[in-house]
Amino acid sequence: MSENELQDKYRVEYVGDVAILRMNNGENRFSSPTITAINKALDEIEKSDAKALITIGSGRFYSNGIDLKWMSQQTADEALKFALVPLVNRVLTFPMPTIAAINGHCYAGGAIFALAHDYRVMRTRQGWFCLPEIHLKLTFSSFKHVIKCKIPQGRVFTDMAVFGKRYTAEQVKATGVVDDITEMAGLMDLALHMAKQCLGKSGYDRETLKILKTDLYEDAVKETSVGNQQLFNIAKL
Amino acid sequence: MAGESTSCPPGYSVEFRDDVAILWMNNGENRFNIDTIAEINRALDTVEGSSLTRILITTGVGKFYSNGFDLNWLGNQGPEINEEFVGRLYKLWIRLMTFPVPTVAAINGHCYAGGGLFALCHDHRVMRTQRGWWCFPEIHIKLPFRPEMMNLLQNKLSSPAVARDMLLFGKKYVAEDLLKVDVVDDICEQSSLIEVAINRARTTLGKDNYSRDMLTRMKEDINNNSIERLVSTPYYQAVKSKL
Repeated sequence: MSENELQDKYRVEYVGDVAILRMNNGENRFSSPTITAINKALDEIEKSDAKALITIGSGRFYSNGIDLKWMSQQTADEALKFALVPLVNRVLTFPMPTIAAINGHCYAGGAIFALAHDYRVMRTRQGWFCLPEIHLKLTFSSFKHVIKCKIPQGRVFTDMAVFGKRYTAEQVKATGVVDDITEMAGLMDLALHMAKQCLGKSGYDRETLKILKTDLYEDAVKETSVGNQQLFNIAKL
Repeated sequence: MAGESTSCPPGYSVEFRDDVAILWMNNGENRFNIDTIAEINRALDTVEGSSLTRILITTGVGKFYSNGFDLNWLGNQGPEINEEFVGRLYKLWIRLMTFPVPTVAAINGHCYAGGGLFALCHDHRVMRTQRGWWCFPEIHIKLPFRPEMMNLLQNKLSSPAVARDMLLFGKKYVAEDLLKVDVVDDICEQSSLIEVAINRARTTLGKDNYSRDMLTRMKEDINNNSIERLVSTPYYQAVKSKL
């Protein structure tokens, strides 16, 4: 697939002053090329007048996380340049309200990507939300700050992060980690509604919001590591 | 006795009722500047000096608990005074967070920005219904928190979603909302506010007698993260030994 063909699978559209990034790449897994494509889309959105960002997958997947097959085909050097942490941190501190519209399966790195958003909405009746790292014999490593910032301490954290429980939309809403749920047909409208509610009359000053997010999530933001030895090892097995 | 403005002297005063000390803030919007911080400290000295006192309530008079920093005054001061203000503010927060008796902020009205921070430095908060907003409007006025303030706030709030709504997006809350997110312990009509605040503190005191020293040590330990962040700032260090 050419770079342009790949970029086309991560398209940006605008509904009023809300930018929508649609991931239409099968399981929407993260590899260095797909991370590059997402960053290019985010670059375009930051340059625009958009006041909010919605991300959404397509079909049965929001995102199933890291592309382990791709990872297994990389050299050690290439794997060490894998920049998912910086991408997650970029979304975490994005200078406008962000909403993950979880249209389907949201696993591992995909769930972490969704957690990096300000708000999450999810469709009902299909799709699991899950951090299955324990089952994959992985620790969160550099991503643990993000999940600590976004998942409530106590039973929810224990179940969701430590023991890798999987959640339906109703179940994850009950934890507070997802803000609202609805049928698939209404998901984008729900996300747009949340965006409008959050923005209020005038939206937010980008610089101020970025500073606030950077300080609120400072532990995660300090994590600048690129590459992931653990993942590389697992992928190679 | 509700203690409305007619019976309360202007400025900052302390009223003792048996083992309860009430710090009355009757200064308009009860904003913080170097002078008002000094007055609050003098009031706290009085409370600490009263060995019979086992509970501290703070409350405002009229429409405001506190609207935060005195931005008008700050805008007219040079950088040195601005920095001194921040240092003295941090000292006050630390003093309140580690106060040797249970503390309750009885929120009688609007509680904005630095007023919210002040209230969160208490052990408990109770709030009157039907009037008064709670809000951190920093995003709306484009004046972000200093990182050490954000750190303090985050430690005092119970959930990521609440931190997001309150600290990033400057959501406005009424008493009922705050009760739902565990930021206040009780809500009631204004006429019962002091009584409810006292009851909350009595529930906390229980039958135990907390030694003042031990309570301060416990609060210092629990809050040591946030306190260390505040203490290590140049602002705090500059006023550390000043009265």
